[in-house]
This record gives sequence, structure tokens and C-alpha cells, in this order.
Amino acid sequence: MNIVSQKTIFRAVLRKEWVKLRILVWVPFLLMIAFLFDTYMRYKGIVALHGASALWLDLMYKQSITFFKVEWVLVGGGIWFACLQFLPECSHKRLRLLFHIPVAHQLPIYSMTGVGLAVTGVLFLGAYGGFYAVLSRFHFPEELYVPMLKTLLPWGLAGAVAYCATAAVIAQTDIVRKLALVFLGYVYVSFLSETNGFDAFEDLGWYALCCVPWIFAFEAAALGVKEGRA
Amino acid sequence: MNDLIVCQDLRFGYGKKEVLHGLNFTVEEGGIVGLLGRNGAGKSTTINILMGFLEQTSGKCSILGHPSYSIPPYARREIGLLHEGFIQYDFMSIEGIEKYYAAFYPQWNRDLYYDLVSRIKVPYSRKITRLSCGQRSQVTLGLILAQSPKLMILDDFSMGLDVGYRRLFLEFLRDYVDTYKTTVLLTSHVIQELDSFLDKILFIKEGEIIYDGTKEAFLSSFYAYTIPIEESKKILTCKEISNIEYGNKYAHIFGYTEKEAMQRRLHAFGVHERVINTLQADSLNLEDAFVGLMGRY
Repeated sequence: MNIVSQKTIFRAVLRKEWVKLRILVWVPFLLMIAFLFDTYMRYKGIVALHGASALWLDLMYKQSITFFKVEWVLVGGGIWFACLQFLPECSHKRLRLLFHIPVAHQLPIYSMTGVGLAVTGVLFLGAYGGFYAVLSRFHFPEELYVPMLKTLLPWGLAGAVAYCATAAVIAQTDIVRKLALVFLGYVYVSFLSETNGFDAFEDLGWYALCCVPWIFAFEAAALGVKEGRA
Repeated sequence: MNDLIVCQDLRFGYGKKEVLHGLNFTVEEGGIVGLLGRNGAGKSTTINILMGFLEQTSGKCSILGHPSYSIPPYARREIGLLHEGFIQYDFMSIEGIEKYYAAFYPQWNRDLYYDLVSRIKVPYSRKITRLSCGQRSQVTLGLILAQSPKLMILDDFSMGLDVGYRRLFLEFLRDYVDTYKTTVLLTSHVIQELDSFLDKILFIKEGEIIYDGTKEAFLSSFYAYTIPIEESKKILTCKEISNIEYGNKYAHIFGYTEKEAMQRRLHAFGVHERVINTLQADSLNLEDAFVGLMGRY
């Protein structure tokens, strides 16, 4: 029997994801650039009007999170990517196509999820790197910029959870389960994005571990197809 | 002969409402089988069970020798499935979707796909979402044929297609089946073009198979007679009559009873002698017989 290689299949799935993402995937990246520029201009404005010491004092003692819009981009980006990938995949009973292709359904499902999480990850790395570049322009000491950068870590995690939760909500056709997923996703994202100071999550590893089950949420929701619900 | 599909005492219900009441049928290798019934008869539910999108509440359902709810991937490769409404990844282009599916099927026949889609005369870079329903049906059929499947299951292939595209679809399918000896199970509620197309018919009504056999056998054993409406009221309890359809002045009675036997039954029910003596079996095509068996309402 002729065998199709996993590599060929994976490449085909990647091509499909590229078709879905290629035009609108850039929107969160553009917003991120805009928000980072806004943060840069804000700091620059404070330095110009009140001097560098005012900025340092504000950041060190008040720990003002003037870059909170980056959080919106990371969470919003996760939701955005999930919508781009899974609305066309799941609407009009199209999820049935996925379950009929002659490979174990986990392969296309986790390839798609992997692509989405990778794009969310790239967005996070872009935000992280961009923010580091902004901070380095003002020559902040390591003691200040490291906690500021670490503030972004739970937001990155929130973005990943937002992505997985949105994907699962889209795939889920049972309204009660859909609402439960919305609620659970909201609780997770709110918790991870809630902070009153820099680097508030000391034990982020444990929180990250608690988020791991979200990776399987889409598959669980998509299996509704096997219950005749899609 | 090898049975590709076997359903034995297949039952299924949505909640407490049972919609399939013990279906029994087999689809043997070779030929085109039509699972025909009116809207809501249980055709799509049956297909959904066959394709593992639903699990039966009881009974047996196997496809290519595998339980339908757990068809392994290598067996799915042998099954070409047309989803109701020509569902496809319509965000992809005509050429893009061909490349996508080709990756999953080692025996993919690219030429066959392009032979079919070249006839709709649109650029291959066009997205499927921008095609008409008829054009989309050609693309979808092309994708199924290119798989070179052993068994094709076409769920309501006629949905949304005008008569031209329906005929085109069937013509291609017939040629393909004759060439590659593929087995086809199709469902439809439009019977018009299927008259000369099906090798075997399964009539499904309210979740039960009410006829399983060849079209010729059915048409040679199923009769229609026309009698005045007032006379038809006398035979409402006659068990030999499958269905009565009413017109303005005449009623059409349908059943498996030949003329002489029917005349005797009508006589027994006190139908006027003049009506009995002039009784003639009406000639039926498949669509007439379908309506006669299933009823108009």
C-alpha cells in the first residue's frame, strides 16, 4: 500500500493555515508596533517635560504600568488568530471534513493549534523584544527593566490561553458548554492579566502548568462532531 | 459478492425520539445504490451513522468491514464522502484545495480533478467561496473522484443544483463508476434524473426501509390505478393498498397488487362494477412510483 508521509501531511496542513492567516495575521503585529511606539513616546514626553528623574521615580516607586496596551494586543492577538483559523474551519459543519481525512484527527488538530500558538508566541516575542528595545533607549538599570519585562510574561500566557479558549468556544456547538468555556477562559485570562506592579507573578511556572490543559480544549470541543453536533 | 456496507437492525434516536427503527440493508461491491426518501425520512441520519458522525443506539453498522463509529484512517482513504450541501474549505482556491487533499491520498488522480474543473471555465486561482453552487459541486465531485475511492457516499448530491448541473454530475459519476468499478451509495429526494441511473434502490420512509431491490423489479411489481374519489372512500381499510393520492375528481391508488387481484379486492369492498371493469394499471416511471409509495404530504 502506498504510504503518505507525515511530513507531506504536515506541510499540507501548514499550507491551509497559511491561506487562512496570510492576509489578516499582521493586524495584531501592527497594533503591537503602534502601542510600543505609544509607550516610547509617553516615556519620551515625560523625560522632555519633567526630566529623566521624574520617569525613574514614577516607574520605581509607583510602578506605573503605562504599557498596559501591550496586554490587550497579546490577549486580543490570541483571540484574533483563533478566529482567523477556526471560524473558517468550524463553520457550516466544515469540521466534518477534518474528521474524514484519512489520518488520525489529532495530527491536523494539533498541527493547527501548534501553528496558532506559534504565531501567538511570535507576537509575544515581538512585544517582549520591542519593549526591551524601548526600555534600552532610556538606559534603565537592570533592576528596573527586568521586572518590567517580566510583567509581560503572564500576559503572554494569557494570550495563549485566550487563543486556546477561543478556538474551543468556536468548535463547541453545545451552547451550555460554549458558555462554560467562555466563562473559564475569561477567569483564566483575567487572573493572568491582573497586576498592580511589575513582575507580580513570582511562581509563574505553576500558573503555566495550570494552563497546559487548554491545549487540549479544542480537540475536546471538536469531538462534538462525533456526537453529531457539528 | 463482497458487502461494503452492512446495516442490521440499525436504530437511532435524537433524545427519546427514535428516528431510525431498525434499518436492514447491505450495499454490495459494484453499482450505484440510491437511498431515497422524502425530507426527514432518515437519509442523512443514516449517512451520519455510516460515516461515524453519529453512533447508533443499537444494531450493527459496518463499512468496509469496520464498525462505522471507528473507521480507521486507512479505511477512510477508500471512502469518498460528499457532505450534504457540498461542504468544502471554500476559503481555498480551486488549485489550492487540490494540493491540500492530494497530500492525504497516495492514489490521488490529479488529471481527473482538472479534467472535471476545467469544464466550469473559471481560473484555478479562484476561491471556492466565489463559485456558484453548481460550480462548487463540480469541484467537490472532482476532489472525490481524484481520491480514487473504493466506495463513494454522496449525501443529498442534488441539493441546490439546477437540472443542468444535476445531469452533468450524474453523467460524470456514471462514466467514472463504469470505468473504475467504484461502488456508490447516494441519497437524494430528487428522483427525476435517477430513473436510468440506479442499479439498486432503497426506499426509506419514516426511519424504515420499505423497499430494497432493483428499480426494474420495483417498477414491475408496483402498480397505480385511478378510480373516482367517491369510490375510493370505500377502500380506505384495504390492506393491499399502500397509498391513496387524491386529485380533484379521481383518486390514485398504489400498491403491489396486480390488476386481477386488485379487481377482486375492490369488488370485495363494494366498489361499483363499472369502475372495476374499466380498471387499468397506470404506467409509472420511478418518480411517479416514488410519490405513490411515499405520499405527497
